[in-house]
Amino acid sequence: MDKFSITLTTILAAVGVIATTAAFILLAISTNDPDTIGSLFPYIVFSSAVGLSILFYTIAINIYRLVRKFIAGESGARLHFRFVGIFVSLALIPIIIISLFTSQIMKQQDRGEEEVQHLLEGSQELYKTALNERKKRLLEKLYQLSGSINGTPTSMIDLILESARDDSNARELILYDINGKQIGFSSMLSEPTLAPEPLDSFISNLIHQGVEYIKVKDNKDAEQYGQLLHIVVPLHSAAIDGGESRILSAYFSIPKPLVIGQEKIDDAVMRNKRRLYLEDQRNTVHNIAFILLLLLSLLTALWFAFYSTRRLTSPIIDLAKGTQSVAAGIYNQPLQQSSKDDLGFLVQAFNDMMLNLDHTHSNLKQSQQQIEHQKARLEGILSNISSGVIVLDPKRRVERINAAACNILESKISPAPGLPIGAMSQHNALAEPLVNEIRDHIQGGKQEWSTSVSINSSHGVRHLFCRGSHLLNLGLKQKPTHIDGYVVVFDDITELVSAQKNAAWSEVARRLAHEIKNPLTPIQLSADRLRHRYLSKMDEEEGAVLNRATNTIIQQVDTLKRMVQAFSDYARAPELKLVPISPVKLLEEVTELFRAQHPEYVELQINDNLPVIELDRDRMRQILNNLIKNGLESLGENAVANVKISAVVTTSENEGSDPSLLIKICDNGNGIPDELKGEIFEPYATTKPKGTGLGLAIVKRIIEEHNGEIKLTTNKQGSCFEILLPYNNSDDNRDGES
Amino acid sequence: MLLSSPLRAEITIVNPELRESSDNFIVRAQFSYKLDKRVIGALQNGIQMTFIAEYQIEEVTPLLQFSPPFFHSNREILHGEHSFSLSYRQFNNRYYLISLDNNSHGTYSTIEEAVDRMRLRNDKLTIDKSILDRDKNYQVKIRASLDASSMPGLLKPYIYTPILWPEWKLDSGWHTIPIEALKK
Repeated sequence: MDKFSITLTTILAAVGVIATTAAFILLAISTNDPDTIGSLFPYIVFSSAVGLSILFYTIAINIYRLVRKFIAGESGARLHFRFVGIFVSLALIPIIIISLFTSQIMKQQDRGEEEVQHLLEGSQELYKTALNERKKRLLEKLYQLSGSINGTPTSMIDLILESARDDSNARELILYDINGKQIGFSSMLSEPTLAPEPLDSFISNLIHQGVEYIKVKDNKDAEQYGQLLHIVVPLHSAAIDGGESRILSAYFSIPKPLVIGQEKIDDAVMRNKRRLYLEDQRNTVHNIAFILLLLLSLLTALWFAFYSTRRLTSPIIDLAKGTQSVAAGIYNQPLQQSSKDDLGFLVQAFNDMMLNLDHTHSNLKQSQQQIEHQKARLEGILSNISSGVIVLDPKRRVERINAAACNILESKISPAPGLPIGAMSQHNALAEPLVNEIRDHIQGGKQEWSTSVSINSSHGVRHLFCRGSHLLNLGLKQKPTHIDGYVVVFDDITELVSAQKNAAWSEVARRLAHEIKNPLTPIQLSADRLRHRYLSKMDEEEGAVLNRATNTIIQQVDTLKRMVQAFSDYARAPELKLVPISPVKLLEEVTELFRAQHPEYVELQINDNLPVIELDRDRMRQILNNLIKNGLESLGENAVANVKISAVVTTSENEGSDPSLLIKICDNGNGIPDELKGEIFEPYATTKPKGTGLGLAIVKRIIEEHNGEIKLTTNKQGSCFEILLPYNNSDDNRDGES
Repeated sequence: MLLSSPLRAEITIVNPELRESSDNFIVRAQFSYKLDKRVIGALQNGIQMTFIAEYQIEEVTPLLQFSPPFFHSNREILHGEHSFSLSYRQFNNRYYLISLDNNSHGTYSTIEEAVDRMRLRNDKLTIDKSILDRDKNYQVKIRASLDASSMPGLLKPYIYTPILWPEWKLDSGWHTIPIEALKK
């Protein structure tokens, strides 16, 4: 609301209050003193009109705003609506009841006043009836006089009239001829004049029409005679002066009590009529005043209902909005405390609560952030450590498993949290030995345990070193209360075991070579010397024995020398001499040697566009020779197996990984026995009767020195060695990189 | 001197005139009365009504040199009025018209006769020329109205708020006649 609107509203409110108050005061004054209502009425109407207009406008605006809020579903609108309804009902009910009773009472008063008026009018009718009776009697009396008057000669008329006036108690008797000319006169009201006045033409006309004239007249000497009754009647007689009719005019006095009574009744009737009329007007004016008062009261009550409701519900609505803010997580918007009553106390309490919540929420948020940070840190650690970690809940369900564990167990998908540990082996058979060990140890109840597990992976037998422990929940006193889960950490120690074995075998080989190689040459020379010295001195039979013996010694020593050389080669790993070479050329050179001997058994399947790769040419040639030779001999001594050599560039499924050269050397021989599968690449593992068992061990070592991998897949239909050599084999650990 | 007068409400000024004699100005006017049935109803219910015909002569004094007519500060020189009351008696069903100036009266059997007689009243105001100054401007104002002060209090709201009850608007308003004869 801008400044102008506020100013306008304030002015309107002030004018409305002043006008309404003035209207109430003026109405109170005029009701108290009815004489003032006339002069005050214009001011009452004006102030009421102004007050009512402003009140109506204010209420209309309030209703519009309330309905708009109600439709929009704003918080507190329903409460506001309900309160307004209650207040309006409270205000309307007594006003309506009072107005109904008031109008009823006023109607009853009206009926009472009307009855008085009927009574008065009845009295007036009674007077009129009495007067009419008198008129009737006087008329009869006049007609009785007509007999004596008609038979009287003109000269005697005045005397007869005088006598008749006395007899009839008339105040005046005048006899006219049919033309209205006065022919006789006897009066107590006036003296006879020299020029008698003729009959009034209006009356004369009436008589000629046969109508009697009767009228009450005010007398000039009213105090003396009171009101007079003037009666004019025609007198018909055929005997009078040729049958002409005459007209008799008579004045009778009306008895004074009757006149006074009539005047009193008339005054009373008019006064009562006036009073009733004014009472009626009073009702009209009072009704108007009452309606104005009612409207003013009603609208004031309505306005007050809106005002009170707004005052009452404002803190409640603020509280509702504050609650919504708190529900929305906003704690830093305290409510404005508008009053110091109970609602003000409530608002203050709410603000305190909001402040506490804000403080608590901040701490909670901070703690949560710390927890999130620790969790992310833990996740990072777990994701990046090489050890496999499996966390189980107290019901032995998987709670967490890290990437290293999945890698070691060759599981592409992490087991879903909540999966029972037993079910892991159903999803991944490789994990079965590990799962069994874990389950056994947990059932054993030992708090900490460790064991070694071997699993048959796609790379051969893998050796895992596994450690387990209970996760204990620490109570308030930092004392373990109950088991909160289990954690199992395991490492793939296959390489370590292999390295240890290799190191041991290397040491053995080195010592064997050293200890055995040195005496071999003297033995061989000595045997050769013995043969040369004593062969010629012996007879043929003995010479043949000597020759055979010394040849055997020399051959066995040669065999021993080769064996020692092999040991020496295994023990002494020369530095790699990496040079860029064409894999196509290398493979073609190597296979060419074997093709020369077994052209039908060696097959090379390679693309000509294989990229150049850095390798130690001699050593790669050595391993390829070894593997192809092994393949050709895989059917035994009496047969030659088919060997197929292929090479392709392959890329790992992992994004961003470098391409590798995959060389496959497959044969259709007898395959590797199951018992040897796991240790075929270890020293002294051989299927040949005269093999040293060091060939594949040396092959594996050379491949690994190239940062490569070698994998064997074998069955009874043959074996297949897959050599994977990375194109980017820069490894700081590798020696002799050229 | 005839001046056209705007007809307003139920009392109309008819034939207002200003006559000049050697020593005086004489102001005359007739007033036409039209009474609504509600007013007649009040009359027949015993409410006596007093009508006043007012004549007034003013010295016209403009506040500024070229002030518009409504911006004048006028001074009343002479004021005259004629009052008469109209009433009704139920017993003889007659209307009574009484002059409050000379107590002359008449009774009429219908309201039309009484109202017609009210129109035929020929009141006048005589202005002695000696009280007027030739160098000044004067005007005569004429008005006929129902005297609200003589009415019962409960009927005054009708008279004071004629906008709500037009039938009670018994006021001709002031009719003005400027006196120009002195300038000649």
